[in-house]
Amino acid sequence: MVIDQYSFNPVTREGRVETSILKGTLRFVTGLIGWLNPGAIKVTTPTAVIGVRGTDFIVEVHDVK
Amino acid sequence: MSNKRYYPIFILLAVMQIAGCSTPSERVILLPRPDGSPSAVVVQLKAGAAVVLDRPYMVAAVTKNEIRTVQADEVAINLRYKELIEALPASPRSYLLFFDFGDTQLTPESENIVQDMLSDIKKLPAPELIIIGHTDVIGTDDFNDELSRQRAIRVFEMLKPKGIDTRLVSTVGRGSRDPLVTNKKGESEARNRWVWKPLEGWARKSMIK
Repeated sequence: MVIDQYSFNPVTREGRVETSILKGTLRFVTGLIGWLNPGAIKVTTPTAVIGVRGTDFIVEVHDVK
Repeated sequence: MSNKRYYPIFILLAVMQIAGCSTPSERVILLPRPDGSPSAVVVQLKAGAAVVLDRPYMVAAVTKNEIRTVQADEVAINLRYKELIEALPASPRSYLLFFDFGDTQLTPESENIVQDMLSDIKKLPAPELIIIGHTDVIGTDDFNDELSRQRAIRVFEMLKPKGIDTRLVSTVGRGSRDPLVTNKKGESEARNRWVWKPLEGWARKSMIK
């Protein structure tokens, strides 16, 4: 897993989270950033991009044969 | 004969259905929110096609060229992702404290809450706290930003004399950005002079292990 971008300003609560999952299983629970600005969270897998709307989810990525 | 006898077979079928044919290389599963509020994720192939998961335990099975959605159920998902489901830290607890107008002096009621809060925190080996200060809308933004910061610091300073480890404690002042109660600009509102203090449980959990 790679954290491509993470920023959060606790005073104004502006921020972005961008992560990539290359292999394995990840559970993603969003907090304040996702609650205030769902568009500010992005999870990228080898074949897809996941956009978040206030969410708790699992991503599972296998080796592609 | 009870229905329970058939239960394991049902689980197995459900899991096989998720495992599915054409071996997807990726899966995304929407989990329910603890408070039951609606949530969703959008899964979009880099090639273009997209699906929306908007019901709990909906699964997107992703291959290079297509995404299929399957509705799974709680039992099947909890079985397959047991470790992930169990790894979630405890939800934060929070305390609301109120202040006198234009000041960092807590109201008498809030002084009592502070005492309860401090004894709760003292039980945690590594408490992770965020102390967030607020103000009502009276005064300039600069003044309120500073006042809210001072309110948070005021609460922070109550921790150390109690022997509480403050390495994982942070303070922030939000000024008048988050009114607890909406009121007219320029009008005093006691309920907006507050500090919110979520208390994270994860540190406690991992420390005990």
